[in-house]
Amino acid sequence: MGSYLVRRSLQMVVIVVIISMVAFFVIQLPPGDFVTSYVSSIAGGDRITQDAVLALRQQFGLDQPMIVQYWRWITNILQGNFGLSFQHQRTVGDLLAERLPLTLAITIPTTIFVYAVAIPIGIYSAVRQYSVGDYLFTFVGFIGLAIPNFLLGIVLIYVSTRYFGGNVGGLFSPEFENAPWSFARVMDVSRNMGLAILIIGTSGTAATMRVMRGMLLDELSQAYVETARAKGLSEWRLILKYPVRVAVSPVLSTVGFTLPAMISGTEITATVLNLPTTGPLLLNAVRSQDMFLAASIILILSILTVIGTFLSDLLLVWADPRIKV
Amino acid sequence: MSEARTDMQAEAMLDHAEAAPRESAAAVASPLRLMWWKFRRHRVAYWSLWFLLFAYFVTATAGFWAPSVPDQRSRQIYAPPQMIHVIGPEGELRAPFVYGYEMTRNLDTLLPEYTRDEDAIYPIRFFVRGEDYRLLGLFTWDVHFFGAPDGYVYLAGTDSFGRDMLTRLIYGAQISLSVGLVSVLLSLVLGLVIGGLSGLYGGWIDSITQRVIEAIIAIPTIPLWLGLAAAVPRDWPPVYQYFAILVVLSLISWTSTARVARGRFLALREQDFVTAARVYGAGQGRIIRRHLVPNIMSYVIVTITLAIPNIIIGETALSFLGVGLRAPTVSWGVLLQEAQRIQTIQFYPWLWIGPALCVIVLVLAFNFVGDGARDAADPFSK
Amino acid sequence: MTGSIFNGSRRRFLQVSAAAAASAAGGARWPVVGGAAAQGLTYSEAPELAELVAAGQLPPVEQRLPATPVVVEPLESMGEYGGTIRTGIIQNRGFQARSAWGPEPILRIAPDNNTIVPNIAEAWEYSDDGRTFILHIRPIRFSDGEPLNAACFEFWWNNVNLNTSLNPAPLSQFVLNGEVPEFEVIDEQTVAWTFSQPHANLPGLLAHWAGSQIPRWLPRHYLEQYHEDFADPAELQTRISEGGFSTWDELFNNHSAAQYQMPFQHVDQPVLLPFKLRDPMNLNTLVADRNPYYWKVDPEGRQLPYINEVVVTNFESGDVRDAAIAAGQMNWVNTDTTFTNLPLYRENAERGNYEARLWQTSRVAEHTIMLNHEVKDEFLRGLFNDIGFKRAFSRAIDRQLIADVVYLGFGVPAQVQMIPGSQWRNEDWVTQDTEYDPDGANAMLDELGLADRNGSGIRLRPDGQPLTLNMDFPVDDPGSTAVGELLIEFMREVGITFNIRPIAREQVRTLIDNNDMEVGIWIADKCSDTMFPHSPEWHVPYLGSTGWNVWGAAYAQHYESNGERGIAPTGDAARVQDLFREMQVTVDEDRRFEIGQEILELNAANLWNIGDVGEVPIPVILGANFRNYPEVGFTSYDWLGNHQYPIEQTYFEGGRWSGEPG
Repeated sequence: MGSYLVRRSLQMVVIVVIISMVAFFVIQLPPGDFVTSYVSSIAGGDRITQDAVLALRQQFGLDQPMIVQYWRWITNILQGNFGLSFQHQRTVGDLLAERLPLTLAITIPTTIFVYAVAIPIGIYSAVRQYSVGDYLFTFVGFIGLAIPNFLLGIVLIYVSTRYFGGNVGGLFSPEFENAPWSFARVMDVSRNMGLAILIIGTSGTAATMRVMRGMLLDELSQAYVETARAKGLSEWRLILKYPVRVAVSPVLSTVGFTLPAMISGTEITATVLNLPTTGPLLLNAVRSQDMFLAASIILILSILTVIGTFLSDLLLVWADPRIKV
Repeated sequence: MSEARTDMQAEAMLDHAEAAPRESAAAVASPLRLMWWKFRRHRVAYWSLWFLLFAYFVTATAGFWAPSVPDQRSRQIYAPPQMIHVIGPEGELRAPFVYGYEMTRNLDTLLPEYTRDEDAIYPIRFFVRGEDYRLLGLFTWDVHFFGAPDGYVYLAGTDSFGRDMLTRLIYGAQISLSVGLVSVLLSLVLGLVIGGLSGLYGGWIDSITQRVIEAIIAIPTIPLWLGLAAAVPRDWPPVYQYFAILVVLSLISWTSTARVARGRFLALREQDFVTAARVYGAGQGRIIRRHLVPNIMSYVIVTITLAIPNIIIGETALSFLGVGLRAPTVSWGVLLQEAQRIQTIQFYPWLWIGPALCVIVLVLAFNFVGDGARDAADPFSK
Repeated sequence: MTGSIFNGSRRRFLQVSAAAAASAAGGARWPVVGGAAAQGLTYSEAPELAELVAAGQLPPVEQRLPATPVVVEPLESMGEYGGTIRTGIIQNRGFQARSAWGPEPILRIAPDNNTIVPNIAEAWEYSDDGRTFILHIRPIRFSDGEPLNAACFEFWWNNVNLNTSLNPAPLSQFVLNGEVPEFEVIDEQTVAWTFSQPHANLPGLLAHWAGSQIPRWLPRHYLEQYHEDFADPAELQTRISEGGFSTWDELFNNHSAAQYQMPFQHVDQPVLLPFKLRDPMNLNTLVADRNPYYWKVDPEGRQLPYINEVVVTNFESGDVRDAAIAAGQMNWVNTDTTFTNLPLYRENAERGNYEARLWQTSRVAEHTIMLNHEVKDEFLRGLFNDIGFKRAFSRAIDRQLIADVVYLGFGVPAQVQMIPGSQWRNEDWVTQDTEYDPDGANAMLDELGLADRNGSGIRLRPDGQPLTLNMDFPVDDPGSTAVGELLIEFMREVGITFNIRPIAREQVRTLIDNNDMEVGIWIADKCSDTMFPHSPEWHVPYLGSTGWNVWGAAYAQHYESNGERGIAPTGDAARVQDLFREMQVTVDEDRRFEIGQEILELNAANLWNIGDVGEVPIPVILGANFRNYPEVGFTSYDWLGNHQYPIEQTYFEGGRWSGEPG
């Protein structure tokens, strides 16, 4: 085990470095560079002459070879400096410090909600396969999957504002924005938060539920279950004791990806709830080729990914004793 | 456009369905026939299979079933769905018909408002002549399954251009039931094979595979799409471009499946029957195919049924970046994309409910067929 | 009040707008902002500020106001203090937020949409045969009480604008035909720029672009601490590392917010605006409250603004922003509202305590469709330069259908000329070749040697290929998609395969830069008398790096780089460039009119732009009891919203928006 940890840690460092290089290259795949995107976003007929465009490129260091830019960036990071976002004219560290806490405050409860709801329902549907409940959950689940999140979001916003006097986006309704904490304010936040979780979590819940159901069905048909049943173990104890533990393995296999997914995949949160999360920050940085911002977020993502897969490998071993590392 | 039959299960079942009567002469019930019998006992799965077959048939011959052609505009913009009536205005029983519409614009909001025109009775007729279309890409025909030759019939309403939504849904299925599914399958096969090998061999193969997966997960795909959009020749027809994008999509979307398959295979490879198979000299491919995949059959089915709505909806995200399908090509994803507007939600709900229902029904059908197939293949099930 | 415009037919609507335009042009309804300086007035202030004065936290109002405050005549009535403006912007686009804050440009366009009037500068003059431009700056105070003076202009010019580490190139509006002027400080409140020829467009430029680029002055007393030339090196280094920056210019740019002139981050950044930042964009909401040192009063001597604060909410999606409008959470929105959303706005207006007024815009047509006259394909190039082809293209477009299907039945056929009410408007040029005539178009195309068709009815090029045109445009522009879909159909009618390709905006930019466009489409804005003389983007190919003119993209590059890049235009395209060069140095109004006339005539003769439909208004969302704002106004992006109607003199009847939550 000790040598495995050492080997894994070394691999983790190497892969992070490789990812940061590949990412730096991939960011620059789209035509043009940040200056192209800056120039194309200028509104109202402002003028930037061709000379100014060239000078801007020089100022941002975009005229240098990619390897030089990469070196400049990575050496700064080793000194704890993530560099400057061209787009925001602010430090990357600043931007992340502002957005990360909020992102986690929204996504962690959502993730917990997804697993807390999906895994029990998945187990129920598998064990009571083809029951009315199973069909009902299947149907509801596929509704959640078949409607794009954004569409679902605005439908729910429309319904909630139209019929329940809800708020469009934001964690606080306008009247509570600057109010001191009170019972009413807590209720307000939880209502907005509930809507948020519903919008963001629906498709994840539906998917996890289906995966859980499928895996458990596979597991329940294994010979050892029959054997255990024959030995007279009570049905629920039997199921929970072994098959369920094995059946969560797909969830565990991919649980490592939830961390990076939280950072990169929160566009819906941001669009529907109007919260400045990291998702749109990355999306915009990548689209406008705001290199240092994009590359820094990707670096963080890759670190989270390798740590995540490492943890999920450990969890897999824990859940299924048959697996050896 | 070639009609890609993509669902392996469905096709396999179809073959057996045809083969069944002939084989019954031979008294020995083959395993496949046993499976088919078991499958038929699963009523929901059985009817879902017929439904899917019918859906593919309709899709392949879309021009005939659709009352119009997808880009045929009309003056009735944003018309709500018409009801089919059999009772006439005087309470008399008639052949099925629809009422015409009178459209006025609300002078304040400029919203088109439709009222039923009691004088305009458009009987629905079958096998009517209408717009020209290409049937099966072979010949041009103008006979439609149904229509209202005296007026118009919009059973699913019309869109902002006054185009018939039912027609657009039927044509939209052509892309959504074919192109996207290729990518689903490709990514599934990649995921199972790569994940399977990674799990079976372990060691350095596993290490490398897992590190590659990490890299793919960590690197955002958006610049890839943007780069690709610029690289794909602009003269390609939209469907080709979209297909190229989807192939690339499946080249990166296999990672989750691979992680799961690997996790399961790590466990399964230690089990006796796998060891036994290996002792008997079975190749790795055979071991994966015959011994390991059946053990995660439910998971495979789930993956497919989850991937289908993902890929249909995925068009939406791609269009947002300017690399998805574009007009005049129509697909369910394009229809859903057009519907994601607050104005649509409030005034024209049929524009999003229609395509959303189609996706739901399709995925449910695939899901039930998958469930049935799994049960049928499972020797332990009752 | 809502909907009065639509109580009649479309014709009625047009009459109302025409009347409004006429009254606006006929005489300034408003005695111009800043026209009168207060004499013998007793000054008073908002109760919130009076409290601070009483508590000793603020000097009395007389000491805060300049010696002669600017008196603003309200549009309808004297206002009352109080209330909150609630507005929504999309994806943090700075220029949207600016309009709600009440931008304070150096000069200003008057509410008549035409006259240039003083604002931060109290007067301007040309001397030395027009070669020197002199600006007299008002002695007013920043929001921290420090004075605005020539030093602020000098600081910006010498230490920011000409500093190459802060600014790659000097601000283009001060660069006349490639030459950077001499700047001098004449006295405490006077500065001057000397050019080798008169910079005739400069007042217009100073009145526009109110901070959409770097401002022409900066709060020197605040920014010196971040500037290499002034700050103590050790202290500067500390500030740089504390802020997490690598160089001083990063630190400076961060604090000067030079790109926006609006402080989005630093509460202590001094401003001259009616409102100053209180809470930076946090949880996507920004709050700005009253600037206690604001330098304008109403005729009764009450310090402006009337309204207490501005709340700006950022939305990542336009549709969610519109949902917020419909839910009654906004009382002041006029950016990125589209006419096609009018049903949504109007239907929910009553419940949401707002009204959706319809204002005019600087768009002569909703779109200009441009054929690249230097397209790389030789055959297409010949075709696009043939006026017969362009006329046939234009006549193949059913503009009434576009109006009916895309613009809710509104809009009238229009070529890319000038908006109604412009001194250069020529009805013949606006309407030429706008009648729908597919048969005529087909006949014209036949004559061009395109008579051969393939089995699908598509015309064949001489090389035997079907005639195909490709139009690329940004995917974030839904209006173009809708018109594009109709163009596919119109072109099919005349035997042309027309492809539309919505792609990323950056990709469009790259295609234009590399002259890889075939057909382009863009909003045909800037066609008003205040924009056209200095920004004729569609009529003259001059804007190379940032422009979206597709028909003459290569010519614009050539113009901008003084012949180093791009392709030299010949004939009429060269002539309009020469005319534009002349326009920039011509002060004489009659000659300016002639120049404009000739540019537009050449445009009519060449049909470089093909317009669709014009006179489509823009909905403006205003609180139901929001006062002192015009019923029919004028707004557009190139005006940065509608800053010609001073926000500081608006108010809510009763001191509070009727739809205020809570």
